[in-house]
Order: sequence, then C-alpha cells, then structure tokens
Amino acid sequence: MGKLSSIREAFRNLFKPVTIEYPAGEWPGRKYSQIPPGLRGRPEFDEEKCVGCTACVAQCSSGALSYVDEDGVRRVSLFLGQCLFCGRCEEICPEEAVKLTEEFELAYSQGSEGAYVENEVELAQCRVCGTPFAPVKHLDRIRERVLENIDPSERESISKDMDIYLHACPNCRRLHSYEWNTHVRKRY
Amino acid sequence: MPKARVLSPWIFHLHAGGCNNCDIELLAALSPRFDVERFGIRLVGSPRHADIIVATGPVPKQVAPFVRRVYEQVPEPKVVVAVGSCAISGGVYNRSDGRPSYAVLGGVDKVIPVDVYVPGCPPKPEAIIHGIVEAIKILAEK
Repeated sequence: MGKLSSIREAFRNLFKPVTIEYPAGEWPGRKYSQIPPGLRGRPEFDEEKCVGCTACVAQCSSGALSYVDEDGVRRVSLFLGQCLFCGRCEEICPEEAVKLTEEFELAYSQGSEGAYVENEVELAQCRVCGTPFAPVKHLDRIRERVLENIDPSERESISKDMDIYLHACPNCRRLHSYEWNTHVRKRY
Repeated sequence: MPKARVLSPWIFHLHAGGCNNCDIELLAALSPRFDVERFGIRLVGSPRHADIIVATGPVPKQVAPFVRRVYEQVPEPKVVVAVGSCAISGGVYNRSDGRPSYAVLGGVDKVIPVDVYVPGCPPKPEAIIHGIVEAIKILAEK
C-alpha cells in the first residue's frame, strides 16, 4: 500500500505542483499567496497621526525603538535588525499611528539605509525659558483629551489654567506654580 | 567571476547559537514548496564547497572562533548573509539596555564581514530567499 500511495502522490504532483510561485506569482485573489492575513511585517509610522509621545519606545520589548531630542525635533527610530515584529508598539499606540504592514522583503546590504524606520515630530518651546521640551502635537492632544473627559462644570476654569501652564516646561511649571495659581490643590 | 558560480551558488548553513527558529525557516526555504533550486541554490555540508554563508544566531563567545574558522575555509569570492535579528544585533539575547548579554557577542558582523542582512524574528522563507538573491547580486560583482 505504501508504494501505491506514493505513486498516487507522484501523479498528483505532476498535475498540481507543490511549489508556490515566488517571487510575484499570480494566485487567485492575491499576488502573493504566501501572505497570511495578519502577517506582521515592517512597522510604519503614520506621520499625520503620530504625536511623538514615545509610548511605543517604553513598550518595545527588544529595545529596537529609541528616540532622541535634538535641534528642536524629536526623532523616533526603529532598528529593524533588532525588531521582533511582536506588534506591541501597534497595540499600545494611543493614536493608532504605528501599523505593522505586510511588507516582508526587508533584506538590506551593508551600508544601505534600509535598516531604520524613522519619524520626526516638532518639539514645542517652553514659553518662559525657551527650551524645547515636548512635541507640539502631543500637547494639543493632552489638552483635547483632558477637556473631553473632565466634568463639564470644571471645563472652563481648567481650560484657562491650561493656557497658562501647558506650554511651560516642567521645571518652569514647578518654579511658577504658586505665582500662576495653577496647582490642582485649589480645587479641593 | 565564473558565470556558473552566479547561476548556481551553493550555500553553507552556519548555525552560531540562536534558538533554531531561523534555521527551521531556512530549511523550509530549501524545501520543494519554495524550490530554491530554480536559482541553482544548493545546501552543501562543507564550507569548502560553498559560495554563500548563511549565518544565524547571536554568536556566543565560545562559538566565535569556529565562526571565524568556517569563514576562512570558504574559498574566495564569498558572501555572508546574516539571517534573523540575532545575527544582526543580538536580538532577544540583548540585555534590557540594548547591549549584548555577557555570553554572546551580539551579531555575526562582530566576527566576520557581513554583506546582506535579513531582519525578522524569524524572517519568512520568502524573505530569506530574497536575501540570498540579493547576496547573489553582490557575488556577481565580486
């Protein structure tokens, strides 16, 4: 029986080969039949949505994501050579800006620039001392979120306080909090 | 560069530590389902017969001299492909601060020159084939 079934298999392979077409074979419905739904490939940043909060950097399990603040710009970069494609950055991103695409042909040669996925966000300057401290978009989103979730009766006074302290760096907030009278303690 | 070498590069699978996952994917890439023999690619058992070294794993310190020795045994011209995150940077064998752990060197390129990197943990068999085809292009120029 063993011989018969192997002969049957050999005949079946004559008409329907086991080899799948790669690269760029046409398959019913898909260009590459080998891309299963939900494949985790090269991660990408949505430049419009990303606010530069670096939640992904804190969540990254392999240390592939990192960021630097320089020249008034926050640069979040992902080193593909260390990425595990686990998708935790996609999971944690509050703005849904990180997405794992289906791109899997990531091979790069020595000295080429294919190794990094980068995104740049503009930093806001402290309105008192002028040092860049947090991304502009992130501050806008904090304001939106807080005002959205706060009790409507408090909304106006908190909005006024935010005009005062939100665009000051943490150090200036600490120094001037008494003089500006923005401390939350006044509400209790 | 003899034409036959570009049309039929033989690969040697160099396992330098690692968790075996990339090796399983590499063996899958050599199977009839992906059929790399249409590119003339064949797995050989000895580095002396090979043109391309496919290296996986983070290179533990004990293995490093053997990696070096295998590289020296491959005849010129030769191309090295590092497959997987471990072979590129140390991957999951890194400490939380991103530096390699005390037992590994963290990357094949710490020991031997690498020409093509294939990121992924593990990379798909198709991604490995893509990386080897990139390596053949480099081999043709050497």
